[in-house]
Amino acid sequence: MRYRGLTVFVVATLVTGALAGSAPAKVGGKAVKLGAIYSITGKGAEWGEHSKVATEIAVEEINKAGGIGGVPVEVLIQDTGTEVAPAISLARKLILEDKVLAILGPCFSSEFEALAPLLDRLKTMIVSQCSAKPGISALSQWAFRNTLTSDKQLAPAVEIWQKRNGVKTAAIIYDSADAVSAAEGKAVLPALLKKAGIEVKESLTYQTKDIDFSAQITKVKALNPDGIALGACYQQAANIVREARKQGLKQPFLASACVGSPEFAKLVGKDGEGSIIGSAGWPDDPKPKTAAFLKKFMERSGGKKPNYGGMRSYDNVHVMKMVIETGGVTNEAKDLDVDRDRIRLGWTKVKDFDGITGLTTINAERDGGGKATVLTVKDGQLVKVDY
Amino acid sequence: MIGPYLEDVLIQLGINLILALSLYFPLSAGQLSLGQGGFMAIGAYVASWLTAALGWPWPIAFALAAAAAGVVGALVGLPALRVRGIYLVLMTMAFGEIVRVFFLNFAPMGAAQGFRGMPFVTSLPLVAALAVVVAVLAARTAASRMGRAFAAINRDELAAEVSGVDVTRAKLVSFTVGAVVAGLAGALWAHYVQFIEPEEFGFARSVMPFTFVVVGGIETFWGAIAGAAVLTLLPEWLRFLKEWRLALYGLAMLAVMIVRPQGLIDHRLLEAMRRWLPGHAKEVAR
Amino acid sequence: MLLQQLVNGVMLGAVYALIAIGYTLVFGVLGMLHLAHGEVFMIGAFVGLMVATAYAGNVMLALAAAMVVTGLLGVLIERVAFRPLRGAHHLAPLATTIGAGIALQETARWYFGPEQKGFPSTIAVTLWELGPLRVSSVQVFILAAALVLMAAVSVFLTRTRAGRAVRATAEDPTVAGLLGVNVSAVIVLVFFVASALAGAAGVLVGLAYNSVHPFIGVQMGIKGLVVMLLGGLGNVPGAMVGGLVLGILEVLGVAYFASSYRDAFAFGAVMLMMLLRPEGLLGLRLPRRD
Repeated sequence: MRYRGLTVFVVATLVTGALAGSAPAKVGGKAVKLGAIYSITGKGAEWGEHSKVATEIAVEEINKAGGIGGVPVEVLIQDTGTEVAPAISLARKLILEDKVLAILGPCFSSEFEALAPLLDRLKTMIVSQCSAKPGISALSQWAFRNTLTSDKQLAPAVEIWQKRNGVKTAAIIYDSADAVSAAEGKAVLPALLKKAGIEVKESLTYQTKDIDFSAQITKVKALNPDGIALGACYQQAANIVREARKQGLKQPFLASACVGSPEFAKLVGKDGEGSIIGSAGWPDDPKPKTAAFLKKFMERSGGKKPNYGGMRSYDNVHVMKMVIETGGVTNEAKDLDVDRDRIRLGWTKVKDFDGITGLTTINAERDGGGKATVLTVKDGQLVKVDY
Repeated sequence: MIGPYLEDVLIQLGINLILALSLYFPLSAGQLSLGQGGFMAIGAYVASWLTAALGWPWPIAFALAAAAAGVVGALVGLPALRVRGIYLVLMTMAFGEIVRVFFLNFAPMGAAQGFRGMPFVTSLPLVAALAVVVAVLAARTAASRMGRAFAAINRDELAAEVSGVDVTRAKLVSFTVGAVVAGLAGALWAHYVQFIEPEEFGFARSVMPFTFVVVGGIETFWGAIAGAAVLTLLPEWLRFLKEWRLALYGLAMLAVMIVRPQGLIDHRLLEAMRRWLPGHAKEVAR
Repeated sequence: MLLQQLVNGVMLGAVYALIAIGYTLVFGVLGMLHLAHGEVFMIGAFVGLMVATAYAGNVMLALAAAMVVTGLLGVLIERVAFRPLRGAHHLAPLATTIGAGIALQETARWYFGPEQKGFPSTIAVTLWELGPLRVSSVQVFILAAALVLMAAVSVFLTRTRAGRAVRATAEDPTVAGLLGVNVSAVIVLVFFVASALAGAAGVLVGLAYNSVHPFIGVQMGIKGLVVMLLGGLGNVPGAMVGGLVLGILEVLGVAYFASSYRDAFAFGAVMLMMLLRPEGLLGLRLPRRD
């Protein structure tokens, strides 16, 4: 054939091109550098600690399987001490000095809220694994949260709670000193309960550092509602539940993600049986991916089960991998600004990513979308409720 | 050029310095206040309201905020005149907590959710300039008649009164100036972080200037400066220790105080340092 | 409901009292605030937790172990954070105890983890109903334990030689020394007793409220200070009464007002007390220290 050589050449080129296209894009540089700002010490230590361990697990897994685009990934983890000012200075350090491509964290809404307005200048994205205060991702197009805000977590939970227990009247107890819990108690819960046709008999408050809830429970006892809804984190929620049972109340409890920690189930035991919690992840999910993660996490943390901050950190690292590999990121020093923008763009398109916390989607407000996980306490463990 | 991280740390150091000096004023007149966090909160919230909600220019906002803190300072300083020592410590601590709880419930400025919308104003040059101004104020005060009155009251209030010092005026002035300076620190902080919440200004915040001054040296205002510098930079240097950072920070504080209870800088050290200055030898020789 | 609230308040108050006694004892003999006392309480809670978990809910053993360990910790703190500063500025110990407190908090966080832990539920709890009141056996135990400890401290201070030595030192260390009291030994003893009481309070709080984590000392510490003020600095019976008063006021405050302003009321009361009656509710038994 006259054009045999040319044909072979063209075919070979096409085949090679096809093969190259189907493999993850090759990334340049020696390492893919990401940053992380977690609250590893200070009052938020457990969230930061779990996030750190989970991130390290993810990094190891990814690097063992060849890294991101063939290049090992490195996550520089910094500790904010659960303080706002270090969150800012560490983020700037990671972005401007360490030249990371993107930042994982921070966990706390206050740290996130202080950091977000700066991002338009710094042009690097952050993605929080825990922050649940509604609305703050709007502060910058570079501010992302791969969590469900309280309203999304509680909406399905309220329905299930009502259906299971026939709740027509409720009392709300919430932490008026904590931003997220106060938002839940003052705005989110009243709205959702009203929508479900549940009458709120009274809203009672406590302060984060309180340990004694006898006064509030005694008041609730006098009101005798059908159910008790909490705007709280698990430490206080556990005490509230136990105090209620101690004073003879049998009402079912409703709460949101900060309560959905494995520690809650451990602390309340039988007292919390049947509590309904709207959450963002189920650590005991028997799904193979999650179970494998749980095993590794427990090995590394001395037997602790991860809170949802830990679980979501793990997913976030994997989402980063996907976004970098499919977003055309080159990881060359000269492309730093463009790469950061590519990663940001990639995150806006995340849809149905199959992570250990379920299918992850980032919605138009740069918050996590997708179905909330509803959990219940059964035999001292957190169990998923199907709906 | 300074790297961005160092710049941030220096800004935080500058604010801490101003906060430390804010405690130095009442302390030099024998009044230990553990409520500077409260005055800082007032400065932060007032300034933030003026810039974010009303859109006023920041110099006016800062000035008014510091003044507001000063007014409250005078109001607290008045009853504080009757109270001394440990009782004053606890009373000012109570004041700080009351301010915190007030803002925790103050819905127009976000209550527990916090308040944002302030412009970024607190650049390093601004903080450095203001820190220098406050330090110079402290120095000039120490050398002035008012400063000598403070020192006399600090040593022995009764004797000072007997020898003609207007104790009431002096104590009130020192307390009020301390409040004004703390309010300024608050305004600077709010326009650095651009988001404030009541928990920022709790007891821990009031304890900070206290530890700066005590570790740095109570005897002179240089102590406040040294203490703020060391205790702000130390946690950053210790970052390589990762999760051991805070524990070692606590131990370091403990160690410094044991080895040198009067603090890092005292009169003797200042004298020794002065002797090294070129001008001094000439003075002595004269 | 009022009766139940009063009972709630008394339970809470008993715990506050135990911590406040420790503060007031230290202040009595040294004239200084021990700002790491809250952390001593926290360590007591953890020791109690460890022992209760290891020995299947043996609360008495947990209590005893916690008291011994925290007592010794208190002695260590005196040696490290107070004694070297004997002649120094009276504010210096505030800084050392703050530093010690941070170090203790962080060590606890490292060793035990930051998560909140509860006492093992192997401790049987029975609920008794007395008319409109509901009281649990745990609550009765706590109240009894607190009262026993307070009585023991009172007896110690008034009826024993060592106790008299403590009171003499509190009144005037120089004179006490001249009269043959070993002032240094007395101070060590005071720290042991004060810290053991805080450790006991830690175990009781752990039992009652199931909240054991490295940061429980901070809030308890502040409450203890407030109680000490209410009762009068250096006044041990005052600390007991002050504790009960604060406990009851807090509970009633939450029951009849919102909890949000409760702290403001408490601290407002403190400010007023400092102005109007700094010697506390029961008055100072000791000469005022400036």
